[in-house]
Amino acid sequence: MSNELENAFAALAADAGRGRLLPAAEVRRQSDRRAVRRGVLTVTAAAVLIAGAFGTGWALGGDDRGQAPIAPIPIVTPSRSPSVTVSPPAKPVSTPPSAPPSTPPATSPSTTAPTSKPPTVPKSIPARAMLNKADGNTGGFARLTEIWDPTKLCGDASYPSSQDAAVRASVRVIYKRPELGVEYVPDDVVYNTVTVYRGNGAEDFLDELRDAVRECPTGGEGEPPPKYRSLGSPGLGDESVMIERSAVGRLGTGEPDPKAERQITYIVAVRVGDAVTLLDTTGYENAGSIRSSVDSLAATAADRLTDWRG
Amino acid sequence: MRDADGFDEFYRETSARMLRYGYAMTGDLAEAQDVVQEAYTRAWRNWRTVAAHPAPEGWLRLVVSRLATDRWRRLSGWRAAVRRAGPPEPVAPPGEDAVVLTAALRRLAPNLRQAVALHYLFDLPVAAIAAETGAAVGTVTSWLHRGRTELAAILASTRLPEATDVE
Repeated sequence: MSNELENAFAALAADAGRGRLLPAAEVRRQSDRRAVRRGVLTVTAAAVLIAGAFGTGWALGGDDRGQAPIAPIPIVTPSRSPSVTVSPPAKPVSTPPSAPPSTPPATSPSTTAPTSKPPTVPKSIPARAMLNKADGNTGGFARLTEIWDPTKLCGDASYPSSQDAAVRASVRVIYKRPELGVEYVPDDVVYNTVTVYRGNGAEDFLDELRDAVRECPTGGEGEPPPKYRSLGSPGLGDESVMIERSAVGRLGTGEPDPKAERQITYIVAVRVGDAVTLLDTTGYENAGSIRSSVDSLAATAADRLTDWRG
Repeated sequence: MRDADGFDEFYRETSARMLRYGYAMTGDLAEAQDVVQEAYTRAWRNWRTVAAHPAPEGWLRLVVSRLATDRWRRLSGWRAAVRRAGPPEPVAPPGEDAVVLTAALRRLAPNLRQAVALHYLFDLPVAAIAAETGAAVGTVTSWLHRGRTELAAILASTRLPEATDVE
């Protein structure tokens, strides 16, 4: 029996030779890209299909689905070593394993939204806790079925607090300053993610985000990768942090151009109690974000969260 | 900064073995490619931790094992992204013996499949399998015994029709 099995496994090992793997450098490159801006490719592809929604250029989809409550997205918390993907399908908020392999594998990870610690952990994130359609002044608004997480600034950014994330939701707002007429293209595409944490997870997340900026002066998608720097606290909520992301400038065609003005966008995190509202501004086409608009949107997002959880 | 050269060397040294393991765990080579690619992607994201680990290859195997189970595949949703950016699927058809074994392995419980694969593909002793899976040595011994027995029975039953055909 044993010899037969050895032969069978030898045949399997030989047959595995048909398989192909990417070069190591490509694996690293993809890992760095995915860690930082997951979902960007998907959004870009969608933009191609629906270009024209906002005129010419790289318009993003604004699939407006109204103001219905935002469905909770359960966070999977492995029962033992934190492992693999912690998020709903596709746009994963990935928490790779950090435990040694000697640790027994998770046997029954919980997939349900936590309800065991009322009243601190809600069952869902209500729409009123987040930015909404009216905030964008364009009609471009979408609830996302996947969580938008821009906080993996580089591979060295670590977020153990993700294990304490109990419930979260993301929306996308296509923003234009209210004084601009219909002939103007939008100013920005802004992602807003609200997360309620168990225990001290929210406070830990803010600490980890500050650490991530220190650990990641550069990183993420783009060649060369963007640079990050902390702008300190914008003074919102119980505590907050604002991060500037500076990417290489681009021509109108989207091609990188070192001579072009750098594209500046922002990440803002505001904690209110056990919850965090996170803004990720991505600019529009080859233009960066407008700081005053980001400040205004961040204040609005903070107010919404305070009204709900404060 | 993370040590890219160290990762690349580790990848070159271990990825072929890891692909065999993924193949045994998933039963499908294209899926094994995705699983293994994803495991290394995560390893690079945590390379300082993995590199400092006493058994980096075991760390990888644990991720592969998890990704290879239905539960983690359903939950993660990573595969579409990997599929877009990953290597092309194998063109050549699988070998007949490999098909028979992978079909048999799929019929084993995941813990038995894992134990048998670790034993036959990596030549790991019982104690090492126990350490890697978090199970007791006696439990692993039992898994291996059951796994071998069940696998041999499945393989024997699979080949029985061939003998009938000869007649």
